[in-house]
Amino acid sequence: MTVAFEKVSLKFNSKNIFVVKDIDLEIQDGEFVCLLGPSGCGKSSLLSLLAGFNQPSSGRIIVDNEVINRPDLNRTLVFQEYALFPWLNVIQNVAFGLKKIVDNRDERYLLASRYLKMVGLLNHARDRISDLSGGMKQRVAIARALAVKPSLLLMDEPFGALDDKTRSDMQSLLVEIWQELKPSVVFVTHSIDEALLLADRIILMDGKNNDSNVIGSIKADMKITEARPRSLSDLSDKKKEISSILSEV
Amino acid sequence: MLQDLKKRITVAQADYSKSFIKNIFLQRLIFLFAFLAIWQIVSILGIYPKFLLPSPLEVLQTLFWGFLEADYFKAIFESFRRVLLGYSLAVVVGVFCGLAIARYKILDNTIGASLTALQSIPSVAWVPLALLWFGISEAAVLFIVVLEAFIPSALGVRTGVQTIPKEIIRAAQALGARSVDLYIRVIFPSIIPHMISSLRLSWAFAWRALIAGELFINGLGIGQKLELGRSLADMSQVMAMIIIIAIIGYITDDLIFRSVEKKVQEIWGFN
Repeated sequence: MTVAFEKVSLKFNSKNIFVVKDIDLEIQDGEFVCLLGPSGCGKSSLLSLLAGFNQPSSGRIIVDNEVINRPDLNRTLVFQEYALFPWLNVIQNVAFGLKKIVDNRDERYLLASRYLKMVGLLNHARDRISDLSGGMKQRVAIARALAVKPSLLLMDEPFGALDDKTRSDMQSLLVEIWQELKPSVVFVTHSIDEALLLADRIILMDGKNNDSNVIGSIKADMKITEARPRSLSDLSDKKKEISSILSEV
Repeated sequence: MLQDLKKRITVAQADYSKSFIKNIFLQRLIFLFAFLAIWQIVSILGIYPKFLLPSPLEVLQTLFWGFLEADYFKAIFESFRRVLLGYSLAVVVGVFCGLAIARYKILDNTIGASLTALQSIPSVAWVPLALLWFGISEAAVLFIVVLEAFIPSALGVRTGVQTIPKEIIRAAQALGARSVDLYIRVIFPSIIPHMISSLRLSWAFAWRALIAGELFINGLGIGQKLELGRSLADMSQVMAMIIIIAIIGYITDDLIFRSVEKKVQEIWGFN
């Protein structure tokens, strides 16, 4: 799936202040893109535009030759707060989106269990959501988002609420799954390390601008070509580069 | 020396926590017996005339004969039929009202605000109006019950919908749930914890409104029995009815609603 932002602007309320303005951006099929920047730089706004929850004030977002105007099974989300459905058990959560695609209930569960296996939670298929740890919840959320075979996976600081160890496990798991399924991924984060470990490409954003009517803008677009799994020590030059761009502004 | 003292204190504390005084059921039982004993003594002393303060044994006797002759069973059954009918109506009206208010801002600003005002009116204040509109009839009672009981449900559903995390709705939308489907599969189950609390409140309101209404109409029912006791100056029947009301209230609220509420909160992970 290819994504193209064409001169996309989003106004803040109806005032003449823009969250983002005239964004042009292309994302290639199967690409892992990180939107990196401090809070309030508009990265989450870009993500919800891409998901189809908001409409741009001007410009358009085109996914595979179609203009986005609403949410779609082809673009699913993973949130920092998990957003699982607590009244459903683990496998029912994963199978939620399949209802629209697969008629047979047993087939839905079979498919869902395949994704549960992928995230290592097959033994917890019948567990209650409230009995899971944060890391397990996020695994369920990832399985749920992937089970409908989206060609674009949207992740909004998905590992932000996890402890360091779990976070690093989840990063490896995500890379593994992504390499197997190869959806395009747009991953929002404010952690430079996380972006460096995961992304093919980092879109660097910032919330400080010369134009006081615009809140967020893209500062840099850089490719990370190092082979995975990566170690941060090999990426220290890139990290310095990003830090200097962010502190410059 | 000091250590010895500390040890003895810990042992004493452990003894205390094991002792029967910590057993809540026993605590309640002892309280109940103490209360009944004082009541019995006061009535034996004859400080108040018998027709104003019958002894607990007399009240028990009235209860016994009332149930034995099936008279009280019929009254309870009639009251229950009435309150269940009113309550079901109230919940249906309340849920739809709450959903509509949560969905449309203009309804929230208008109807939503007046519901809060309406809630401050005690049910008995509606009795004259209901009697004039519907006559001395069951319809009047149902009117009061519905009017009282739909408000907590409506407000609870509204708050429930308004406090669903945005991410839950968005996740569901991205996974293909839309319009009616979204309501059935996500919005409705999301508000169940809120719903249970407000259904419980609605039930309490319905129950109060029922008794208030029944005092004024003819036929069978707990309220009518209460009023009959007053007009015959039969204080032991009045007290017997009050005890029945309290026990039914306790059973429905504490045993049924609270245990359902607890279970729901456990599943939804609120503890």
